[in-house]
Amino acid sequence: MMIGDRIFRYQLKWTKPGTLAWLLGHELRLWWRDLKAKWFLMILGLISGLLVLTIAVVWLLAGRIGGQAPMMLPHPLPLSFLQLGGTAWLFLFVYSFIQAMQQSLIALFDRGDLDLLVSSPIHPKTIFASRLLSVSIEVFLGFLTLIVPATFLFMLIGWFQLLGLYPSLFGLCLLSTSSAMLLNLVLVRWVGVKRARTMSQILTMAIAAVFFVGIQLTNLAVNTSGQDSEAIPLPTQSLMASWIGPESLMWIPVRAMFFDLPSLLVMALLSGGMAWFTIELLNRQFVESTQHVLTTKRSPRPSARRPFRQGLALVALTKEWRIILRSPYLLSRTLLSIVFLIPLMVWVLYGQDPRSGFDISGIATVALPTSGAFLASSLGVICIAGEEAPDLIKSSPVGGQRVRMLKVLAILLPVWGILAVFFLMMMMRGINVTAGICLVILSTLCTTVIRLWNARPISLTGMMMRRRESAFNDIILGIIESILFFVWVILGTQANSGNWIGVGVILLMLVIMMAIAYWRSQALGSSLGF
Amino acid sequence: MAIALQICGLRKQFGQHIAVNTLNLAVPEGTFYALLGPNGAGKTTTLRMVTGLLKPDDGDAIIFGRSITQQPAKAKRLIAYLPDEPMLYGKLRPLEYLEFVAGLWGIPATKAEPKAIDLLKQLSLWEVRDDFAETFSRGMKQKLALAGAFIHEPHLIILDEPLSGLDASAARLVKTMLSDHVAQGNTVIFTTHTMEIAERTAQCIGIINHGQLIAEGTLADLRETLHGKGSDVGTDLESIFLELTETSTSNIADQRIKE
Repeated sequence: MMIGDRIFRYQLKWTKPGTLAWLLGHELRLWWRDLKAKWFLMILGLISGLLVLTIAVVWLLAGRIGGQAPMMLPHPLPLSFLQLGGTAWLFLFVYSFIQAMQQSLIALFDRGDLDLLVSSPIHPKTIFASRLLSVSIEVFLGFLTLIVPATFLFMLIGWFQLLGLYPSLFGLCLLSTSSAMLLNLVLVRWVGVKRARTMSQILTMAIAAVFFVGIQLTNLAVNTSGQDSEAIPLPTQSLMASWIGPESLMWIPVRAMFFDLPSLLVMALLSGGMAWFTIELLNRQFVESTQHVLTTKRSPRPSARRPFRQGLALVALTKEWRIILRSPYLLSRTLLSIVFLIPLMVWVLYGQDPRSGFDISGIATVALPTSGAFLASSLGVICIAGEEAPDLIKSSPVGGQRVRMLKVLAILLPVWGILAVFFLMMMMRGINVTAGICLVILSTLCTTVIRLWNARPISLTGMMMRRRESAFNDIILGIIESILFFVWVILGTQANSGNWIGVGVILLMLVIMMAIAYWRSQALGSSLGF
Repeated sequence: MAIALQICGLRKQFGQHIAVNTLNLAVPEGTFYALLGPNGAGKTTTLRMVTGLLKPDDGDAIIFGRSITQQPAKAKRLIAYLPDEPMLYGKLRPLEYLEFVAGLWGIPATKAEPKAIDLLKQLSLWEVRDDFAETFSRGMKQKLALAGAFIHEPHLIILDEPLSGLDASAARLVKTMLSDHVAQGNTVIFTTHTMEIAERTAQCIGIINHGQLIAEGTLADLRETLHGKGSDVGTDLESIFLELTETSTSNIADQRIKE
């Protein structure tokens, strides 16, 4: 921890105050101090250093003793390599864009020091540039956990060209951060600050969902139609070859990843140009938007007033569902898990193709219980952990146990409602869903109860803005909560294959895990404050 | 006159620190009672134990004859608690919040709804009834929380720093509402750091320091405690408070040195 602080202290000492480098150092120091997994990066750095040393020694010895030349990548790169790299690039871009959208929201609107910076003599362009660069660097550093082990693997087999991943990924992060900031500030101009934050969060989730569903549906279409390249007419094939052939300009970002110098130069120009354009175009709007956050008040939208509901159960359930529907970030996360069910729905409706070898009943016993558990867990964060007035509930004459049970019901009812649609569709197709229904009830109930036992109260507003607060209370319960997701997959697979001994063994394990969780929850007491 | 709140030997310790030290206190029904004390004196801890939010290590609080530790549901039905940080849901509108609070206290919807509308109008929140509570200023949040406290017509209202964050007109409105509530025979206990408020509104003042009650009574009683019986020294509450707490602190320090 001390090393990081020392680096930033020297960096700030040797740069001129008020310059971009100085402000960037300040931004990164704040990021470093806010980072929870410092130890992980430290260990990663240490392991990386050791691996570099090992690889150098191995190659030196191999060269001296064996006299073997390193295995080189084929040149020019074959189409299969480019396609694989292209998919990876697309995935990394979507991922970095989502990260950049989230981090730029914090950097632009949520950090409390904007007034201080904007009122200082530092030029707004410098402030905006430092924010943009710091977000890019933070996203890039986040990638290191993924790419450092991968590049070591590549280096071990001699593909040193893949060291190009580092500069090209930094370019990619710069590109995605610039696009994210551009989009965020355009949204601010378009719909205002408050709605922009919500829209940005939903948009981020939608992009992830479209990417995921797009890939799934493409695979599905290929699998179910059985169409192959021979069936494509020749003119179309030649047109596709010019677009996606090995010489196509489309592969420039991928070639940059393989250390192709001209491609690297193009990517550097493109990402640098995009960053410069964003800074030049938007630095004034950035300042205006910052002030907009503090000064504007959205005019309220009149709501149709409904008469008060009678009875605690109805009032409490209504309150929970209202809060679920009004938490855009968490709702979008929940909707995302529903979107993930779309490919399953397509399978349910059009699947059962004997050529694909896909077993549709697996959806009822494996996919739906697991998705149900995931959905219940997401809603649990809003209903259980996100209770904003625990003192109000505790100071009321209603027992905390009753309110907690109503919260469980508020989670389970919508989840069961959504999954019932799938079961109904399957039943209409004559598929036996008895085991699936039992497993869904089991998975959602266990997940919600564990969420209840393991919830740590969090501020919904804080979570929406920063998403850094953990909703986990206890490590043992947290581990059980995570393991349970695998349990539903294995249990469903065993039930689907008719291995009832396996089902019995897993159910026994489940009972033991739930017993441990119950014992732990009793030992800890209610962590919710009511 | 019945006793609204009877605190008997209440004690709470956090690690080595004794927050409330065998506190005894009795507040008669229909009293406007101010509980004063320096920072860390144990005011909030006492109120949290009285309202059932914190379990006492020892002792009990009896609310209109019902023990908060033995019969919590019955005792809580009679009280409303308003902490210094209002307990609100950011994503609920004022009427939705009041509907939920009424549900918690089991108030029939037919009775709660007109009361809620009336309270919002009285507290100048009717104009913002379509806004979410998260968009409110601190003063508006405080007023909405106060409406939540009044919705179930409690016999005893306990407020921690109720006027902090309120503008002058809102503060006057709240004071009037609380005074009217007391005039109807109910009891109000509040804490404050603003001596003028306690001096003007409270019928009885209790001063605690280091978790113990060091003085209690009307302003005249407190003056007498400090300067002897028949004293006509026109000392204000601020001077009395400062002198009493300083004396109590130095006494405790002397006692610790002796020990």
